[in-house]
Amino acid sequence: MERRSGTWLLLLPLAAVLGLFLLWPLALVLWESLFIEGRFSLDNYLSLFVRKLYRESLTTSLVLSASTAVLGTAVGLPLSYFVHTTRGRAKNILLALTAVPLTLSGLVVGFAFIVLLGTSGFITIILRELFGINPLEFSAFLFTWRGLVIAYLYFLIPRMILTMTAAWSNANWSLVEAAVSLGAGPVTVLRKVLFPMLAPAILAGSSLLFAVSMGAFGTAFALTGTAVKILPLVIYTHVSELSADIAKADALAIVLTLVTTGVILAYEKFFTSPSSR
Amino acid sequence: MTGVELRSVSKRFGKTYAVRNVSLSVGKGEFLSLVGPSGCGKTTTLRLVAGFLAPDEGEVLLNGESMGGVGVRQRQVGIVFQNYALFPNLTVFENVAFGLRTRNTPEDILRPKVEQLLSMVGLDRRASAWPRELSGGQQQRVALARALAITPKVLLLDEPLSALDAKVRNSLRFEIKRIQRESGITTIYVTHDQEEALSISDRVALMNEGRIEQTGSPRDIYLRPANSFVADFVGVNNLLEGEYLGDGRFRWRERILSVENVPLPQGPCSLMIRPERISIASRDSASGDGNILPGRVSGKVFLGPLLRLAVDVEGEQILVDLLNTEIQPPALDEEIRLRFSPDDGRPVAGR
Ligand SMILES: Nc1ncnc2c1ncn2[C@@H]1O[C@H](COP(=O)(O)OP(=O)(O)O)[C@@H](O)[C@H]1O
Ligand SMILES: [Mg+2]
Repeated sequence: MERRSGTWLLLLPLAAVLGLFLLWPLALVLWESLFIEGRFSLDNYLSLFVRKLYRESLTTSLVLSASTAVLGTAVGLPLSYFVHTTRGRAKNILLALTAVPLTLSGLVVGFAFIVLLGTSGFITIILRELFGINPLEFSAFLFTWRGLVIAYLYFLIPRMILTMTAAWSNANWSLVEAAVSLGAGPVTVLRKVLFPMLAPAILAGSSLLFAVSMGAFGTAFALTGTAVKILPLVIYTHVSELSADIAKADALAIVLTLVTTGVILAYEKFFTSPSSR
Repeated sequence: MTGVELRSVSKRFGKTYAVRNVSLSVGKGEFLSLVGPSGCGKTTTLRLVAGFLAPDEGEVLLNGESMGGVGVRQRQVGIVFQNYALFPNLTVFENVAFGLRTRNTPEDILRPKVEQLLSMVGLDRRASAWPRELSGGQQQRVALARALAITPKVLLLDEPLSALDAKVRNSLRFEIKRIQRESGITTIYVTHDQEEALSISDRVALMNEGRIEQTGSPRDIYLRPANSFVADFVGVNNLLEGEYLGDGRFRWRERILSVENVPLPQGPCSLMIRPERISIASRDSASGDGNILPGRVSGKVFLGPLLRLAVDVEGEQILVDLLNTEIQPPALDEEIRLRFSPDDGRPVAGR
């Protein structure tokens, strides 16, 4: 009993910080979202399903995040294996380089893409000189949600790599050796040994990627202003513009939070329960 | 015909040799243990046989065929790892069936074969269990059945019992031996435990720093160690550093001891005396043809059937094992006289 209360005491500072900076603001947002002109109402939420703008922004956000999660995983996975097999100084340099995109503000990433691939971007100009492409057509792509996928991958792939390098170093290579000695070819090893072994880490990584792109704001804002309708940008327009509608923004924020925590919780439930294999 | 043969095999990692000029042959159906201290190159040797590593020099042969350029997949070797390495996402049955499935074995052959293997290791009733539901000892039995399922040319076991507790270790040791004898599969068993190696092997190869120091039957190795390293490694031994004078005479400090007459060159070497071959001479008895070493009892350990004394002889600690039926064992600090006969003092090379 005594030990238990001691543990609780130790958790107190963490609980205080979480309560003050996470739960309390979230509660405020939730509270505000439930009132229209001082009266309790669920209309803010109902309108999310009725109004085209909200429905579309939710869909776009989900599609964008799912695409970045899938692509980021597909690209990050082989890269992480490459980083894992690198040795010595080269490995440290690679890991440091991998960490750089994570430290950049989303706005910086957005502007970097404009400087490189925008209408008068560095790469765009080179391509125009070499192949005579039309800069406008070429970089128009960058300002759609598909362009955002590319830009997001810049800071999502490193997240995947970092998640997976840990998994690679914890991998039990005797399993692979056992399988090979029993006559398994590369495909069987991949399907029956490596994939089951790495699946939890892959899913952890991709749900992280999904959650991060659901909430990412800076890059999208820098690249498209508010032209592409995704949840974070729509929330922004509702709190910043003349037609401010804080309660709607609150409701959107709650939905965004629910989706991201939902993904993380689903992952936890499936892959960290004791009965899992 | 030999099951496994290594011809002057060397393997380097960077500049250091992990295995140096090792030649070894294991007869078909023979159980050979590779034993030696940690880091001496046992695992590397095993991986060279399995094909996970290619030798820098020399050649590995299985059943008389050179394995140069033959990959692990094609070698048909069964491997048992220290950490069991069972596939956690497959049942016990599917683990054992794994090697048969990669060979596209038809179901009506596969099923009875797996069942037979499982009953051989005493786990026929756990076929549908997950590996994590089994104890360590049971998991290692499954691993053994899985390795045997492919009817390997050679069975390689790398410290298969090290992760288990003493009791399980002892029973599983003899079970491995029984299964090996029944199946008649050529086996290389790696361990750092000399007792384990001596108790289950047909032959033992003792490794040190990448080389094989001695190969022989357990009895040979125990009774006639080739040098002081082997003597020290296989069991408790007294090793006195001195000089062989030839003709069964050995100089230790100021004394000339009469010892076994061995074909060793004269010069520095060690004298091996087993603790159980030393007795306590009565105070006033004549030495006869034995050697007498006066000393003082500096320690006593009770070992069940034995009482082990540590006796200080001129600053050298000599171990003496007495049967615990002795009427009156000497007391601590008592001055006693140790006696051993010339036949029980064996000069061995190295010091
Ligand atoms: N992959 C490797 N890279 C570098 N050195 C290695 C490697 N594997 C083994 N060694 C070295 O080779 C020597 C023999 O190792 P090993 O065969 O594992 O010994 P044992 O199994 O007898 O404990 C050790 O000094 C070890 O550090
Ligand atoms: Mg080893």
